[in-house]
Amino acid sequence: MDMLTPAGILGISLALFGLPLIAAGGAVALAGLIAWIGIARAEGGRARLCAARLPAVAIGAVVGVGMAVALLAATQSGLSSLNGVLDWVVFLAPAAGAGVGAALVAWPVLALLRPASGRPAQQPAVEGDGLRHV
Amino acid sequence: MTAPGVQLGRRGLFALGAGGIAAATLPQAARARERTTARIVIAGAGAAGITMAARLSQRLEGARITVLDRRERHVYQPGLTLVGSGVWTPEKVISTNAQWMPRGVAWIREAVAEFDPVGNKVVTDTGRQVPYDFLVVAAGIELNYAGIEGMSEALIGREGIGSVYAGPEAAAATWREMARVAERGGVLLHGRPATEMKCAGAPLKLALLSHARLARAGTRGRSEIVYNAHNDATFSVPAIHRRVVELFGERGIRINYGHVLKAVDPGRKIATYRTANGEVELRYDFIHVVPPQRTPAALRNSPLAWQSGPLAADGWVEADRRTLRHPRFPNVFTVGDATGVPRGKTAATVKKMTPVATDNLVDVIAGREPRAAFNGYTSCPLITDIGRAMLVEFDYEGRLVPSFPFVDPLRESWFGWLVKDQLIHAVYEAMLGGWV
Ligand SMILES: Cc1cc2nc3c(=O)[nH]c(=O)nc-3n(C[C@H](O)[C@H](O)[C@H](O)COP(=O)(O)OP(=O)(O)OC[C@H]3O[C@@H](n4cnc5c(N)ncnc54)[C@H](O)[C@@H]3O)c2cc1C
Repeated sequence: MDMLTPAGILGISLALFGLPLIAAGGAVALAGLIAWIGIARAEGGRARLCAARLPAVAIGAVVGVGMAVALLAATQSGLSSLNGVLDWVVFLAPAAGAGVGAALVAWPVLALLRPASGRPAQQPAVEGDGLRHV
Repeated sequence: MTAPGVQLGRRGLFALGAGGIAAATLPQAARARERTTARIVIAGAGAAGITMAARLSQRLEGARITVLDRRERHVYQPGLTLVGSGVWTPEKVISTNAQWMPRGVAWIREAVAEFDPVGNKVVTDTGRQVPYDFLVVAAGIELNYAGIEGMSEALIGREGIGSVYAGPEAAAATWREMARVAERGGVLLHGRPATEMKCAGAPLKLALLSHARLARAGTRGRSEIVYNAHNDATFSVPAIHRRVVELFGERGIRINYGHVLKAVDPGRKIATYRTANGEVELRYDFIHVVPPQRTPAALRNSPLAWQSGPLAADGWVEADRRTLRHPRFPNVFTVGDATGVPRGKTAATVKKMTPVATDNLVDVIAGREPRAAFNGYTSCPLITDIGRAMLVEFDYEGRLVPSFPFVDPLRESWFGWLVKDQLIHAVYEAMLGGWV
């Protein structure tokens, strides 16, 4: 199919989303990836990533459901419009994609904001009697 | 290339981005450009004319390409049914030809008044003579509202008369009339002309969409929807006709076969149809008028038109149905709605015709025989509801030729609707840029 040539895919994507939006999406994904690698390699980074995993999944789920609702609203359709497996796959794929994408971007961001223990990063850890021992 | 009254076209960010990146990703063979100093004139800057200009300027180095069209506005016509049913706003289908005109192509903002294929020139409506070595005819279709007694474009949006064919404003006015009837219910008449026409699916879509609107408004039970087919079928492809009959049956849309709209009387809200048994009058609260269609007068009256046969009457341009080359004037190619071939007359057809015509014209310029063949591909996503459509695609032989092998072309789907509502406009714009 001519639409599936590199030029076709590019042309259609540009017409659909526009160059600024595609560039912004690419920049966010790249920044997320760099942040993720940086955190994973830093001392205690893995623990931070572990702690941020669940909240990132939650954000992904919210974005995924939001995407599904937005898709139906944007196409003036309802769930009753879906007719067969293909429709469900086509409906769920972008929602899942958006959800996974959001979770992946949120993950390193949350890891940066939260310490390994799960307590907010801004509060210094307090030990024993509550006094800070220097 | 500049001349008095000629302005170079501009491309937007979209085309710039697509051009740069796509050029880097295209295979070398596809980028090999033929050197020529040929003068190529393209008559018409609609979907077909602009796409040809884009493709030819990608394939040729040094060619002097001139597009002639007086119209500044570019209308994404496949969106008119969505405007006419209140799904889209009219603004969504309007852009400018300047936005899409390829860089380096000269655009003369005048219409062709005379085609002179013997003298290898066209004469514009200001008397300017534009000589050519090769001519691409892409002047589209003329809507002949006057071919229906009592009807004129000015009536669209009044007295229950709608017609999405006349453009975005007419489509919006059609929706206002349809919405008015949907509030109370009434008799809605649909149909198509007996001539060749662009997007033969559009009148069917309008009938189905009017059903959807009435059903949503809760007035379907109080209404009657009638589809008047011009012959003994709702569609020229038998498999699609049978499916349409099924869909109409499920929705209670009555079909009158052999009914051709002859006259409308807006005062009495009566439509008169020619039938095999004489004239029949039908009362309406809403009527969707699809006018008889033919090529623009300059083409109709030119030697380029078929001189005999079924396509001669309305001036369709003679063309070899495979190569799209004129049999009597071999330096002339035709693309788009004006082409005198048995099927086509959709933007999807333009998408398949233009690469064929480009390849063949480049071959002829290079002294080779044209090799590419057009298979009659025609497509018109048949909207069956707001939220559902069928992606029907077929060729000269009436075979269904789905682009997506996993899609059943005769099954209503949300995927089909998504393609129509969200994707095809982008594909159309990519086509204008010559990328698909
Ligand atoms: C209501 C409606 C619904 C449609 N739905 C679909 C759909 O769902 N899917 C689909 O694929 N297609 C659809 N189409 C059809 C599609 O829009 C046309 O097939 C397509 O636009 C044809 O392109 P064209 O360039 O041949 O004609 P056009 O786009 O009409 O352009 C012709 C151009 O020629 C110019 N011209 C005319 N006379 C002259 C002259 N003498 N000199 C110079 N220039 C001249 C005109 O100004 C115009 O700009 C629909 C069309 C309509 C009206």
